[in-house]
Amino acid sequence: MTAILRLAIASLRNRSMTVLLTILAIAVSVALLLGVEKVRTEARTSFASTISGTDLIVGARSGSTQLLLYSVFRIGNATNNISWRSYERIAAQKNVAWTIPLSLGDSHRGFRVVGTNADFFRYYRYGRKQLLTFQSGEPFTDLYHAVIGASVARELGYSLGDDLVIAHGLGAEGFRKHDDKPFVVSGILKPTGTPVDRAIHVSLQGIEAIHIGWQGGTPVPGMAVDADEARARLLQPQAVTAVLVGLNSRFAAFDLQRQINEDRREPMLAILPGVALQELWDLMGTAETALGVISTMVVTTGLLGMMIMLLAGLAERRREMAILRSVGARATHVFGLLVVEAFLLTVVGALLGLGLLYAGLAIAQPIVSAEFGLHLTISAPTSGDLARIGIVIAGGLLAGAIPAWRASRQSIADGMIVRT
Amino acid sequence: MSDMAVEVADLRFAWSRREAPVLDIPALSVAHGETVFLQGPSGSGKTTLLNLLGGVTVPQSGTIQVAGQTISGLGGPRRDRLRADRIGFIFQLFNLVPYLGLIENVALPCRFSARRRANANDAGGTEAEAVRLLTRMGLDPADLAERPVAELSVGQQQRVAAARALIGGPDLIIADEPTSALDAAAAGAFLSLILGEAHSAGATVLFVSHDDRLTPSFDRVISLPEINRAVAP
Repeated sequence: MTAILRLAIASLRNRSMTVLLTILAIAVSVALLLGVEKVRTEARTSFASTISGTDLIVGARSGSTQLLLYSVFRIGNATNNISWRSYERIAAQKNVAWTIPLSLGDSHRGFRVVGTNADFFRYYRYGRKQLLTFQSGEPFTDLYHAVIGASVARELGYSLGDDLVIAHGLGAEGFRKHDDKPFVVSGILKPTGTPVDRAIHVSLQGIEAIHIGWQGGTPVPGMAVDADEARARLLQPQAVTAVLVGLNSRFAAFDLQRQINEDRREPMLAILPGVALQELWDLMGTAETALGVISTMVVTTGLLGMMIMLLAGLAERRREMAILRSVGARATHVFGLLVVEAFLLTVVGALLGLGLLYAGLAIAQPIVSAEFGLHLTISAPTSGDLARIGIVIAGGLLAGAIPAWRASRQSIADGMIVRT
Repeated sequence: MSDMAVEVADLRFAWSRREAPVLDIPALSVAHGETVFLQGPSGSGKTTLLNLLGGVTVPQSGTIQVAGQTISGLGGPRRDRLRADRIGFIFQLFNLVPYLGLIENVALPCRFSARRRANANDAGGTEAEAVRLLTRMGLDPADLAERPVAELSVGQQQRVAAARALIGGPDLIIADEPTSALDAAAAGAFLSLILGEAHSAGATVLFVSHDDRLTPSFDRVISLPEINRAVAP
């Protein structure tokens, strides 16, 4: 066996150019296969940890995916609000530890504005049950204070004390603006990698204040009040868009969920965030599968390339095989030589691919983190990665078996003397 | 157990049942230590006979004994082992594995035959024995070792092949037109080197050629067309 290994190594070294290209093709395909898997699992983890520690999300009756999208991901619109009275009833339930009311529907230069209260900064958790922390400043204490997410601060270049004007509606430009009541940045949150980074948080009363004298999306003439007059008004919110609910015991979640969903006074929907996140992720399952299929095909192409290289070399290696036969090599040695060559190519390719993956991760990590808020952890290969590498190597052996079989057939037919 | 290095009896070989046989040899024997010149023009079944002697091909009928063992009666792997252990081959051209170095090419039979490896080790080690044989063949291993073997001259390549055939002391050296690519002087020099070394190693030599000028150096001359009844005379 060592004789065959020595021969295989010497033979491959002799064809360094094609061998190098073949190894590179396998390496790139393995790096892609593992990279896609890495991004997929990280994206899934990141997705699942967008919100944590919240036991129920309550909104107007619609679909659970829709409720999750607008309340957590700030995508799309609520079709309806829930009344302040319903909110208070939920907050008063005996198992409810805390609630975070959310009032959505306004924006500032493409970023969503979220009306909430101080409990948001006290109870909202993401990732591994992490609380929000401040880069600078503090939660809003004034009616016209705003706390902005890290991406908002970075992309719009805002710092503490800057003014911002909230627009009515969710478009980037062109909507009516609440320019009579500008807000002041009172706090900037640290990056979380969640939609919180892209939101502007103000008090529920602030949302009420800018909508005094508005009806159906436009200011009613003669009804406007200025910013200071608004302070004097009773700014009692009439409705909220959604409520995040934390319970004393997670087991109470199902009971409360049923109770809310069956409430006869107002049509509401309560969802379990974990279940809804899973449902939403499953919607993207096709894309996931497609990525997996594509990277598998790329690996197959890499191994096919190796097979073609080995097959193409057989014609010019007939003499070599005949010499080996004459010095005592069996047909199985010839088979073994080709299989060992394929094995070496695949193993070196896979290891190089692993190297490429880590080099790629080291380069991409800060970029992906900054651009997409996705943190790619650099860690040892998982058992899944090792299994994938194992499958690639097994595939390499299989791809090598075909030229190997041909070579052994050919050498049996040729004997020791090749007459060409 | 025969006393002969090669003993062929009632050998018949055809490529398929329907075709006429290419070989029909009632008897052919070569004694231990004998040097035999086998005259075989192309078309006389020479290549087939060599493949049969080497156990790469098996006859339809008859027996072939090499070094006392009936190679025609063995299974594939045991025929391969017998060939590796007992026979050293030298071919007309392209004898060397292009990607192996000079010493590795000479040592190649010791990688496949434990017997020849053991013999070479007894003689001072595989590499030392390769160097010794190359030197005996008139080559300077230290000078040539760094070059790819494909860059050696044809005459040098044939001498490397001869060293490879001799390493590990096989019983039988089969040379198939080894001098046809050499000029007369080089052919004569090559022949005396290989016969000399085979003699001192006690090896039998079966030398196949159509170059009749070389016949005086051999103990015996056999004409393949004369012993092969399958060839129309």
